[in-house]
Amino acid sequence: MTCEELLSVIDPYLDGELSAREVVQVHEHLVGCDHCRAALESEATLHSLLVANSAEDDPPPDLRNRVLDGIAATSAAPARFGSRRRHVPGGRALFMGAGLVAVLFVGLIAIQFGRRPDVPPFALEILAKHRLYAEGPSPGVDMMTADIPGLTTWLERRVGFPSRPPGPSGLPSVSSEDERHRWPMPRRRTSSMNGMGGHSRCSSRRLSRALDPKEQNASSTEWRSMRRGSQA
Amino acid sequence: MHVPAASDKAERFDKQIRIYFNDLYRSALRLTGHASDAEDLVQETCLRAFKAFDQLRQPDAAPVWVFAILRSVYLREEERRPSRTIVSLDDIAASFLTPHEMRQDTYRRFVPPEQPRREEIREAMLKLPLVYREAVVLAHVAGFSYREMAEILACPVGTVMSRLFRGRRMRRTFLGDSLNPADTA
Repeated sequence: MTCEELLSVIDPYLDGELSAREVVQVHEHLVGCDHCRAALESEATLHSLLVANSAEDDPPPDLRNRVLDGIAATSAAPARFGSRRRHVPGGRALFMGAGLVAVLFVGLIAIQFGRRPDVPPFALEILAKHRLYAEGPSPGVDMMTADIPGLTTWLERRVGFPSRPPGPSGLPSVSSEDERHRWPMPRRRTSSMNGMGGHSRCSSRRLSRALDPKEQNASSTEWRSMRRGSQA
Repeated sequence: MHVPAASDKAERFDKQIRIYFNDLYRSALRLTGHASDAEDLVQETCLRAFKAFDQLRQPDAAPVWVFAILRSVYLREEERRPSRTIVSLDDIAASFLTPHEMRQDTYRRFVPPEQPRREEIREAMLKLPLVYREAVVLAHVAGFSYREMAEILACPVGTVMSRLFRGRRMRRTFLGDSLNPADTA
């Protein structure tokens, strides 16, 4: 740590905002730098002066009671206000009318959001990510699960159309005691849901086609299996 | 503690705010500069906080929440006073330091030679433009972390650090001017 770097972290150091590693770096620098140590001591003195100065100012003894008196008076006010409102001519009708408008508005929004889009947003997102990752040279994105039926159901809910998971016959060599499977997703980041064993891969070309609005008649994706490690 | 016409809500509110009450007043005093204004500010803050008390879901968030209300009330009050300038452009421009200026900062030349008087420290604080004063008050008087200050001031943590840095440098200059600084370099 240089002198300039130390001067820039004096405030965070005194405020206790540095990480343990940064604090050690500060201490290491201070051991051999009189100038920075003097600067730090100077600033620390000023900090403590301000804190000590502010601690001398106590509120007037009766201030809290005055505050609580005001609160007590305020908490009594809404009842009086409410009783007056009931006498406003047409107030209830106005309130009910506003409520009806609000209900209609919320209903319209619910209908609008409840409409099933032609292509589910999640499916479009997968497609976009796939195209992005497929163009890059980086390694694939894998999903691993011990519960293929569960993941299939989840995926169908998200993408909005049925998918056919790999059957036992399509799986690569999976040890009998470990039936967990890994599902590679297009690229780049590896995320593990649970363990690994054999893995199955969704045909990215078919997935793209299935997600393409022009080819929505391809209502199911096909999954093909491949041996673990053959992806590379 | 006597609680007039105490309701459950008032008791809960008092219990929650009690431990911050002194810091609220001290912060209000540093912001306004006058005891009577500080008392009014604290009263109005507590009143508004009590009205919105049901919105406070997490007790741990109480200090940030109530100080944010204090700041909001103070700023609203300041806006009603056209004679009071919240911050001038000259003040802001003066507080921007280049890297070179940072290296040549007054760290080297100012070590308080003696205990400054209480009034001098208070005046140095009140000379600060509001944007810097409120950050310095929250840090020194109320002892908030940068993250908590960022929530209260509704700005990024980096902005908090920047305001603190500039406010402290300006305050140091004001104090140094009044204390006939010693050159230790």
